Amino acid sequence: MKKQKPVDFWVLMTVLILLAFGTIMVFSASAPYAYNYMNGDTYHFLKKQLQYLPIGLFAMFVMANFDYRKLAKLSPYFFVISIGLLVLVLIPGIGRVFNKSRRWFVLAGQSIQPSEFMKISLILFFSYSLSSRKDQLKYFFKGLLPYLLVVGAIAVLLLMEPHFSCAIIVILVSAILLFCAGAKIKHFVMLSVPVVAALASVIIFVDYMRERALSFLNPFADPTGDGWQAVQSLYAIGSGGFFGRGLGKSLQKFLYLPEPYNDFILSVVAEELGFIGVLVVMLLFLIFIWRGVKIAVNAPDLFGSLVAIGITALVAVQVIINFAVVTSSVPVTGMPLPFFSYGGTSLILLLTDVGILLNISRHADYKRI
Amino acid sequence: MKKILKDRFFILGFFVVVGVVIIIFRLFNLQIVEGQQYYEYSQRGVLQERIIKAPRGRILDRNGIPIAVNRMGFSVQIAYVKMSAEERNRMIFNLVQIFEKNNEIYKSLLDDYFLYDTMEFGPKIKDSQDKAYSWAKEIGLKIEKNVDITPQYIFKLLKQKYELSDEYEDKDAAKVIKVCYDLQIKGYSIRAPLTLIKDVKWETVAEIEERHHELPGVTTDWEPFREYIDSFYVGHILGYIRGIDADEYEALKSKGYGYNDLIGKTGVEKSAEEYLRGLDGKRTIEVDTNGRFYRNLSYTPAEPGKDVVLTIDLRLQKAVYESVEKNIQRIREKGGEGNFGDANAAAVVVLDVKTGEVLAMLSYPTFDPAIFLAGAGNKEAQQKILELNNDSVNTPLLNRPIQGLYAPGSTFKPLTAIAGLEEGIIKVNEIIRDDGIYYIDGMKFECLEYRHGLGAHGNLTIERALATSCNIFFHILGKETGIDNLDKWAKNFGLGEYTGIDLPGEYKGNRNSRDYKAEMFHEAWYPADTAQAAIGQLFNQFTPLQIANYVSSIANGGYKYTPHVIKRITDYDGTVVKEIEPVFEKIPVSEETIEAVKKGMVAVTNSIDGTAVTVFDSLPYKVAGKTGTAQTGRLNESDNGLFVCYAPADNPRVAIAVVVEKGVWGSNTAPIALDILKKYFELYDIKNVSDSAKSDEVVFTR
Repeated sequence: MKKQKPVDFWVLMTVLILLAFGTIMVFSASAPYAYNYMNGDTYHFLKKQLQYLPIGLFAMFVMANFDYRKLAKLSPYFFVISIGLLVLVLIPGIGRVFNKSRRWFVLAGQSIQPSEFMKISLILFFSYSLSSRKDQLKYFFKGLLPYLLVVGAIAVLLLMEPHFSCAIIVILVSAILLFCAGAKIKHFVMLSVPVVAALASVIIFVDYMRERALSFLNPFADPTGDGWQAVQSLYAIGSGGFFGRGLGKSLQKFLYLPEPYNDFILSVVAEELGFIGVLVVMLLFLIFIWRGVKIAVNAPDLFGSLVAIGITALVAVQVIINFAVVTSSVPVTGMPLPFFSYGGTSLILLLTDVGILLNISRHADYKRI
Repeated sequence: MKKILKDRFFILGFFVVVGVVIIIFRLFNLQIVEGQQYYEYSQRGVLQERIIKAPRGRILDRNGIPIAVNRMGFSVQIAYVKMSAEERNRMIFNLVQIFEKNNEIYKSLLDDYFLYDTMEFGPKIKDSQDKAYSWAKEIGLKIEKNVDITPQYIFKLLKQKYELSDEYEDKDAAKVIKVCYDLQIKGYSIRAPLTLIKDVKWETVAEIEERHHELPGVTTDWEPFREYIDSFYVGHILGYIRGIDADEYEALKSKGYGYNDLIGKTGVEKSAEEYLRGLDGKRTIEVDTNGRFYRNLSYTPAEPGKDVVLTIDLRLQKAVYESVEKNIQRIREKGGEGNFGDANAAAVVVLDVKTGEVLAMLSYPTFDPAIFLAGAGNKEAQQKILELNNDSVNTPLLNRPIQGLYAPGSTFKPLTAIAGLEEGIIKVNEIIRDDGIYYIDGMKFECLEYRHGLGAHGNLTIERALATSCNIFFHILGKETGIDNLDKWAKNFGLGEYTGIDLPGEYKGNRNSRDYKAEMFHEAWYPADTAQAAIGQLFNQFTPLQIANYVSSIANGGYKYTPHVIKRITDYDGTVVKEIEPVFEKIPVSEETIEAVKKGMVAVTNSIDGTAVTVFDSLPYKVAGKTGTAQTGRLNESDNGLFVCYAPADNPRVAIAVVVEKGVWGSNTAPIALDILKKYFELYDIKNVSDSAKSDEVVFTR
């Protein structure tokens, strides 16, 4: 039996460093919140995160040793099941509502988000499908349109929950997959015209959306209402300065930032570790993206390339949007920061994805680049 | 293929690089260029979450006269502010001086361990050097080796620990140390200020606010405090609220109670706790670095508790109290055979016979629950509470109408008559002869007339027997009826059973029965016991409320109501949340029986030889009553006096039970009932009873 090649060292190391870093920040950011709302149990969120972490690492290990090519044949089933779950979660009584959104199943006391499964199922299925039909892609109606319709349907299902940020991820990741698989650039340009027009008209004519957009442009207009999160995030980041207040010394995490261990965890990083700290986080993610692209380019087949680029894009899209949100560069939307933000399903599935990426890296031929 | 892939990656990579550059630029702007400005912004305030105490519901009498209300009071807090020990001590000293000037009493945890004024150890470590040593170590005093631990030495260490310089005189240093100690033990922060004193005077608040620059970290806040009005008259019904006990807390935690919350401990304050309690609100505020209020951020208003309207008429209740006080004095001074001048306590219950509402209910001596509201620092109130708890002679905290157990004596005789009639032992006009003496099982029973050398009652019907309260008649009737029937009928009328009143701590009492004797004394029941039971003696122990309710059931023709003191629950704006409807049970007793017994009770107060004749003559309507005198079985102590009645006799509206402990004779207590009836009909003016009804009903009237 042929000895398998090792996994990509850089991807593995950056992921492990990001995880360690992230777990420390989850503890630092969540302690005051947990103390206030979890009966004084400062360690509440750390303890839960430490329960998910081994499961995620185990999943990563399993997938790193599972030949990714076998996933191609399985991907249609995953995809159908995922769509089924997305429909199922919308049914009252089956899907649970938290924070006004019906996005969770509760199984044995654990909440599970089917939209998380959708992300990886979509990447696998599109990669499988595109790798066999790539020649059709240059035609708009025969090639590109069916994919666009599928993505549109999924986005509608997600918006019905509603899960806005996941819909954005699904749309952007699909677009990147289609783009890399060879869809014509002029089609994208053509498509972008109605999309931009639609977005603009929504912002101009829908009051709620306009207010949201305006509050993003000037969060200080209503600092205790709509602008609250953005303003508190800016206070946190700004007051961090170059070197930060020091690990654990954030003031903004003391109930100013809503759920600071979640979407706004980067604000706490910026406040405690300063400009330098954020640059380190960004650098780690850039390494991950660079290696992800490299694995994609050197993958032995098109399916592997597309899966690798899909997973890398999944991380990259979330990272960039999250950075943009906390720095108030785009309107607030609930985008978690991969490997940092607290959350069970997303962490475990993210590490599963990394496992697949690692497995592709074992088959990659680096000499070719 | 790979070629396309690479090209496209370059395009995507371009987007990534643009994004990263924009974000870095943005971060650089925020953190480096404007960083200082944001830093200052963020230093400006700190969030505090403050509980807004919900006012407890009011308690009102049936006419809306307030008995328990709330008023706004101020408390003083201290939040941690960054400063030197020297500055802190100066601030505390300023504060303590304001407290002293306004006579605010500051109670410190240190008082349990160390007292400066007497220079001694407090109660918790007084008895052993070891305890003193381990306490001192625990709080972080640096004890040198081989030193005697004296109070003087501890004081020196405390001064060192809290860094009190020599500019403070020892007595001033001691005051500052008390506060420092609490700050250390209870803990305080800029987010969670420590409350030092609750319910301070307005002058104190004014001075603190005026001099706030000398008092960094000190703030004032307001919250509702309970206040009782005229609570002295209704002490036992009202009850009081106090802090939650440590052992209660576990059970209450799940209902959302906090450790410092107050909760009803007795009376209506306890039984209506679920209504009276409000829902605390919350507000998030931002404070500046001196702990002073800066701005409101969010606000959840408190939801006030519901008001409780009692069935009690406070005016009637006061009249009851005044009459009881006056008559107890009269009985003590009256003298005469068997009067040791020791009457000291009483219980009165006034019921509405048509609804079971308690119109007045007095336990004498009473107490003022307001003293239980006083702070721990109020020594006078604490002393009074101690006295109330320790008074084993008068037991003022005992709620006698529902917790006092008394032998009913002759007030039980109407029940014996009912049992005899209902079981067919005697007919309405059937005669039993009283010869003065009667033997059962070789035991000799004497009639009171006979004992006093006045002969005997002779031939008696039930009506005459009740009027004269002839013992022999009821001995004979009771013996024939049998103990099982007496027990059954007493139970039917709720004697020796819980009435189910909406007050906590009701006693059940006990009833004469074979089972009771067997259980308590392991003895068989004898006919002589039945003869005793028939006149209300032996093991019968009833509460005045049970007795009043039994009289009420006779008055209203056999309906046993569940007595209650809560009339309705209303929202703070007056809308009715819950109306307490009368709950009753029909006793299976015939109309003829009730009528016969009623005639006898009318004769008690109206026939020439009635035991309470002339007492009620001044009233424009007739009263039906029954006296009772019950031996307490203790030497050199007067007997208990009882009187029960209902009025007006031909259209009953109220039933009254009066028990005066050591009241000597039942007839002694009837004037209390007279005063109550006078007041009742003055308040609830009676027009439907005509004077003519008075002359033609009973043959034996004068």
